[in-house]
Amino acid sequence: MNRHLSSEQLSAYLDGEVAFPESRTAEQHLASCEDCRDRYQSMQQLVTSVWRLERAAPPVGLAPRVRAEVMAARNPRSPVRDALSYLFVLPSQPVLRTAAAMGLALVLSVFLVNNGVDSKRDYEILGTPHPEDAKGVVTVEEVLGDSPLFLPQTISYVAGREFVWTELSNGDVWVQKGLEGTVPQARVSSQSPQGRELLARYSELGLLLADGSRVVLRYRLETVELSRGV
Amino acid sequence: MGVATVSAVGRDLDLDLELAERHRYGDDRAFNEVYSRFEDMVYNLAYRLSGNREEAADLTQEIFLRVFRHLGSFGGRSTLKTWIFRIAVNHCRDRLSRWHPPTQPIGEEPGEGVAVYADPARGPEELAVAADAKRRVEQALTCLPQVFREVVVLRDIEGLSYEEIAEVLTVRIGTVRSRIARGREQLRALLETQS
Repeated sequence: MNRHLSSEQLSAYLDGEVAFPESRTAEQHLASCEDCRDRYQSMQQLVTSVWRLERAAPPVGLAPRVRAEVMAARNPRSPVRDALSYLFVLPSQPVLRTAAAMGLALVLSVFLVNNGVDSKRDYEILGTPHPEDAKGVVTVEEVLGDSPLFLPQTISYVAGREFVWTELSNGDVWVQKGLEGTVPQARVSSQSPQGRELLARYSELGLLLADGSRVVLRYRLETVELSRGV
Repeated sequence: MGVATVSAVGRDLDLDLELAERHRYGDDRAFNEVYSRFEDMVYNLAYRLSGNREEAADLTQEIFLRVFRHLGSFGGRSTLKTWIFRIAVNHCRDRLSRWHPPTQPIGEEPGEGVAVYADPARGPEELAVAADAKRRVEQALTCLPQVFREVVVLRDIEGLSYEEIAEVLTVRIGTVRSRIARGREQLRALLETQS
């Protein structure tokens, strides 16, 4: 081959990005053409000088900044949530919301103690389920989990299990503690026979389902995702 | 590509998909792993494309916010590395088109945030010459048009293959090959003009 190699051929050959017949041709040409050999060496020096530039180290404060930003993105303002917060006079900030919920639970407990907890009539008036009907008590609290981001977690206790409130891009989910990051083995709708069976067995799951779009829990040795809808 | 490399890529992709799946199901540690793995890479890319450390920090923050929002939708059609590079390059393009050139180009002074490793075997004069050469290369890189700077940075600094660069920029490998060659030619011309 007598024609000089193009810059593109030299550059690709230098990067080892040419297939066998072309690489052989370039190799043979470089062995016999001083001009192309000089251009090749000049390009090699240039690439080496770029490659030798120091890598810029991220500033120390960047990681906490990004994590704070991500934390803020995890709890976006939602019109529905704001409306619900307004209706239930609960602030939208998770910490304040939890504090308000705990305060409300305390007031309710005092009221029930003072007015007699065994009276069926009182439950009917208050609209709260009778202890015989309820299989567990729903409480909400804020704890610092073992998350590396140190994000406060909103937790509900339902039927003796802990559920963690998780906001995902495709909907809000209550995930049973210990199952975070676990891929469900089965997905059931609340309207399906299995979903109805689950809700009949643990009626409080319906409360979680009304709050989030899905609930992930351990049921019959399987991780099950229970979702609203058909 | 050898069998071992293919299986290594397959393993990496499995890991990437597992991270995305864990993120989808609310495991905060998944995003943290992604951040730790790619922070340096993203910051360095943003720094080389913007030519400014503060701007690079802002860009990195915004890029990772995008990564966080979309990680759940990562489907494994490319590796997580090229997927994140694609987000980073697109975001830098978008932001830098509305951003003024750096007031202090990179290479003016070592400053904070640049890892400089002195070689005890080299004398002061040799070090000064090397530092000057480095400064000139950095300045020339900053002056390179965006389209060529992207490919030169991805190839010669980040070490991506042509195939990976094609995935990042969503262009054909032939385009990558031609842009790298033209970018290097322009860079050489800029360096010659400087001297």
